[in-house]
Amino acid sequence: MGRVIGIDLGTTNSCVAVLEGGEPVVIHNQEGGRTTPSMVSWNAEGEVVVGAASKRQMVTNPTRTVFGAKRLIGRKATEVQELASRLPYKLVAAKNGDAWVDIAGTPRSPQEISAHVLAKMKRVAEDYLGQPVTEAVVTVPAYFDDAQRQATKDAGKIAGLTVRQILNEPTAAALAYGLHHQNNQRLAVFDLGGGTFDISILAIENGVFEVLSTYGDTALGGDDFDRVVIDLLADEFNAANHLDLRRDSVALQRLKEAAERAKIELSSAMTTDVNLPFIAAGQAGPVHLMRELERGQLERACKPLLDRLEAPCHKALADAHCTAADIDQVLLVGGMTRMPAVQERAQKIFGKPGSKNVNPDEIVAMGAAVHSGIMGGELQEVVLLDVTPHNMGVKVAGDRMSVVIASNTSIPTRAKKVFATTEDNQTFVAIEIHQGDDEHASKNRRIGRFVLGDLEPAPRGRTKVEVSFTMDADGILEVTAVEVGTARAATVTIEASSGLTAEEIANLGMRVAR
Amino acid sequence: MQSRISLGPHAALGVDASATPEEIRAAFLGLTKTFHPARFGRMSIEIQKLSNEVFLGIKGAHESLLKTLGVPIRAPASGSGSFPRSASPPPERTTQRIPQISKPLTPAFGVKIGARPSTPPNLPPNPPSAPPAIPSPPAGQPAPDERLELQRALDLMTARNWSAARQAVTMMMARTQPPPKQYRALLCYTRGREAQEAGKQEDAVMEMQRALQFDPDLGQAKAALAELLRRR
Repeated sequence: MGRVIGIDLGTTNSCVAVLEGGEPVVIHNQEGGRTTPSMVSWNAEGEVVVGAASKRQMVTNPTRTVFGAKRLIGRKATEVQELASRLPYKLVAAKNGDAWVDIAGTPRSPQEISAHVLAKMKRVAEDYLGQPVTEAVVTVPAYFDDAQRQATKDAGKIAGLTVRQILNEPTAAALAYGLHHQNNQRLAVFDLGGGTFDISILAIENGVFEVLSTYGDTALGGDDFDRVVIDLLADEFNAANHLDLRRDSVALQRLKEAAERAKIELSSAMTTDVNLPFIAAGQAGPVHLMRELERGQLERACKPLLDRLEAPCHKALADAHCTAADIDQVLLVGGMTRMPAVQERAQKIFGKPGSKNVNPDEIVAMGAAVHSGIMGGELQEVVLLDVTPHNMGVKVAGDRMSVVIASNTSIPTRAKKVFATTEDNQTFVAIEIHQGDDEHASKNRRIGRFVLGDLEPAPRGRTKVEVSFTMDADGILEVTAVEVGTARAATVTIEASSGLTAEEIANLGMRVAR
Repeated sequence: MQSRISLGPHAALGVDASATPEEIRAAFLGLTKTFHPARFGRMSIEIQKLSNEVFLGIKGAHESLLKTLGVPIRAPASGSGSFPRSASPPPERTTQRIPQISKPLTPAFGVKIGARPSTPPNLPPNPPSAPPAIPSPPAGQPAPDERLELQRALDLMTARNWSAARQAVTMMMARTQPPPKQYRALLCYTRGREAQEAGKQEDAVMEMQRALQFDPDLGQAKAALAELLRRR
């Protein structure tokens, strides 16, 4: 059996690690970097360029360079409309309504785009190990739903990888940290990445890592901070020159690059220069954008984003039935936690400073490698008990969601609930399974539907159906419905669909993994 | 393990009827390390499903025992270190009015309706007397002597003379340096069988897992693991 690698498939950057002698080791890519930009472009010849090379040509090839595919994966075009207006590349709706990217007239799924990044990470690991790699543990934000997880798995398949486990990013970080800090303690993992914010509360007890609660915001990350800087610069420029730089994809791309750089520099310096000569053509010739940006300005502009960090933390603490004082250690994960204002906010919420001795860009991939060791048996003394991040339930009369497995239930788990018919002589019931936290079923994501038929005709409310949900440690749900008092039953395994058929996955696999 | 679970929560966790919450918790954590489905994540779907059932049984036993004792199920805060914690336990769900499913409009679509598997998937029965299959010789042609020795070890396994078989394998390993993975797998397998006969179920499971780590195709270890998970 070959090795299982651990991949952190990030919004902005990805990282791959492998377990060597019981220790996770981050692998350098062919360019010498420990992380690889999660960017994919198609050049004029139609060739695919991935990683740093793709990032380099982003400014000259903005409409065919895709960044942040993770924000699109497993989502509907209608859900990402707001994002579309600010991207230099074009979003389209696939036949099934999924958000895809239009590259020079060819629609491409986010799964395919992410597969190119995963295939690159696979090659990096193969070069290092000197042997083929076919299995991986891939991390996703804890707050990803079923469709997003399945789509990530499919991306792995396209890249020629069997994804042995989809692991939650904050949990992975805790595993990597806890490998050398196994004393019994409570951890808060504060994970602000390029695209998502996750907060998880864990207890480490005798080598068992138990997730107590997890909460997050899938639409809050470094990209949003970049955008605040872009807007700040572009609004000012517009006021002075009556030119909106956001309307020109090349100017927008240059602005984005400069904004990201300025944001990063302001984490260590108090001021930085933004210098974009010849950014646009005005009536009186070329116009330049040159100004000094101060840390205070950045922090003031980002205050609404920083405020959004608080509620999920308090919710996670409440769900874990503990207070900030019960937390022994705060782990800061994700590149955005380098920003002093983010660190201050985390300290304000938890009453203690965050960890200083972890690398926020690499710890998630290292945790994925640790988990591969748990699966492979190299690490016998550590194991992980994770939770399901969303409510799972059944749609009942009045579009209500009747929750069968509540969010933050530790998995695997099994739960049952009895339902009654609403009409006289009803001979079948449709069981509609939804995932999400809204009390109205239709506002949550429907993940499956099946029918239990041939019921005994009886007055309404007399016939009872017991619905049982079994969720395995991978989060795969199986639902069984039984008519109480008879043996009539139906079972369905919810095979979350990422929107691609097995055939499409196989065809894409031939192209990507070549 | 499944029959152990069927004997009730105390038997499932291997604790006395008078066990304290701390003892129950410790037993649960110990079993979790061995039986968590992640440990079986690279094995066949059948074993994965079985391990899921087994772990649900262990988890259910832990929850029901702690519930009887009125103790919150989650880990205690490290600061206090003892049960119960200062923070309030999760609110108990009270019996609710039965929710109602509205009459369906259209028949099912999109999902497959299958027959309901009432029990965990049945694995092919593996009577303890079944002779183990002879594994293919390790990479490279073993010397004729080595072949004979391997055959002798396998015969001892067929005779279920585990300790003699273990010694035979150890001897073979001592002579071939470094020992091929296949021998190491056989060593773990015989050790696991010894543990099983001594009633040390968890040790047996761990040895079988190690055996499969060395040789994922070792059919005997796979069968033994399934057997261990199913019954005591």
